[in-house]
Amino acid sequence: MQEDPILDVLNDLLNYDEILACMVARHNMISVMPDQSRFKPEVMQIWDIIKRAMDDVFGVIREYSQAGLGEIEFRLQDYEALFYIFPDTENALVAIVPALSNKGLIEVEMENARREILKIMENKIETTP
Amino acid sequence: MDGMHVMLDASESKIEASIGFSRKWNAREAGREVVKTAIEKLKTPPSFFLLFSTIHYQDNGGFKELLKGVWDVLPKGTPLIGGTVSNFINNYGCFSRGATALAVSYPNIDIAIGIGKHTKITPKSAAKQCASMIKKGLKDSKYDHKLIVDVISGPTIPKLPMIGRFMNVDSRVVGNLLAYFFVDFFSYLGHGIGKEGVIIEELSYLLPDYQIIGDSAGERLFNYQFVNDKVYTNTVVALGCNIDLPVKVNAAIVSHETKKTFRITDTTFDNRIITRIDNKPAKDVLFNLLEVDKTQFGEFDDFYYKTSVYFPMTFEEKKENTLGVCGLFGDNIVLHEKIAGKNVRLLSVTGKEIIGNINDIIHKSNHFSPFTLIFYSSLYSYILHDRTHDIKEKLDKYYGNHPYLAVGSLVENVRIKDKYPSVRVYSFNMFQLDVPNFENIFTNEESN
Repeated sequence: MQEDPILDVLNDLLNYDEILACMVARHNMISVMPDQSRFKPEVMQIWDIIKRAMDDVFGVIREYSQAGLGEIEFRLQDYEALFYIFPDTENALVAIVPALSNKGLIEVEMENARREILKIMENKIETTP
Repeated sequence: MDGMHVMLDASESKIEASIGFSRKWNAREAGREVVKTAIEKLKTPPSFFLLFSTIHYQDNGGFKELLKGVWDVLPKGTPLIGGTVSNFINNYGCFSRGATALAVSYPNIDIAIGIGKHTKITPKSAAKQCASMIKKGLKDSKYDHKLIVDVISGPTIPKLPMIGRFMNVDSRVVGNLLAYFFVDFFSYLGHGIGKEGVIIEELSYLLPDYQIIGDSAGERLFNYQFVNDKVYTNTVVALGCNIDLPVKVNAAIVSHETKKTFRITDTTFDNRIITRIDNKPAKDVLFNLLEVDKTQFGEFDDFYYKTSVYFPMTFEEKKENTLGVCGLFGDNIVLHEKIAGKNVRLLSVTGKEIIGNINDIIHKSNHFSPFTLIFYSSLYSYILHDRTHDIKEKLDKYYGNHPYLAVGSLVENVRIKDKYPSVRVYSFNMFQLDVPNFENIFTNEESN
């Protein structure tokens, strides 16, 4: 079976120390997620509450993505969730990072990942018969 | 002209420039790829090779492996300097992980490499060693136009037993002990503040004919410098370059003045730590001025990323110098560098201002250079985040496929012809050659 190229992009993001978990998701649905064993253990301890908060944020994304909502983030305990929304969709690239990490540098690579995933999505649409 | 590579006739000699790039995680493979991508389009071996990488190779094989990879491919004897950087922008994209390089090939150029060790404890002597090597290496050069590209070990935080690494100490007593006594001790360990100011002043004094452009390698915790096949810490490395083409160095600080001012009344650590402002404890006065409360901040990073990073300082006595807050020891403010005067004015920076000013600087830059090398403040990324990509868009708008490399630096240094050297944050410093018979590199009508 062929590997999902979006999974490759997500797995690459997980190589960064600061990215504790990442996925492509939408409201009540995770579209692409790396093997959870690659998520940093500390984030798994509060995964359930993060997941619930994420679902609520996806409600906001669904409401406003067509209006141009591009990014959204929240801090929960010692973690921050960054949502990079794919334009005109309800899907977002999500990453969990430690609170107060150098987001200036992390978000440069998040944007690279979003662009790469967008390209993959566009190619998929073009090649789908 | 080929993408990310350029070749032209100048003074009947050929100059070529090319950008190297790798995103591989494995250090050895990245080293090979960054050279391969840089030199595969050059018709003649490079006259020099500038190599920059993010810190990630420290844990993915190490920098020795990175350089081994480089020398698997780079022609033997090519002068190489470089170091670690926070992030970089080149023709390929905008990145905070990877390796990049600028390779230049030209017959009418003489190159010498200088290195000075132990910059944290003996910066002046390190600068002397470095300058002496460059002087010696270029003593017989017949070319009139002179430039130094330098990479200096930036500030690093030592790891202390039981305490670990820290930049912020709340306790007034411990903070004072650190500020007045122990911070000096860090220098003996090869750590602490970068001392770039002393180094650049000494290099400028010993090599008065040279324009200078450079950066402090790395992030706040670690940094490395490269010379040929060796990896160093705690050094200044420099590429001395004499060439028959005019050298253009442009520099600008991207910020605006606020009405917030104060007068420094006492300092320690050779003017690198402010202890008193207007005869009051320094931290309290700064917090009052910024209208923040210390209870808002659980730790220094909170203050640093949310407030301090937006307010660099400048000095009424020397406005070319800008500094940022590097840490807080009790009531004392630790700076990146020495103060350049007693009368401080806080500057302010916004993302919009960064993008707009950079657009203007690039627009006014030289239209006839075969390549562009930029050292810019990596602090821009702390404000712009993913919009750092907007800087890349501006560079593409004007330079298109002509080779450019912009390196994100913690502290920048520059000396423009006939001016005093300066060390600063929030600056955008550019090195180009001026080749009047070269095609206009500005790529579209909008930019002209």
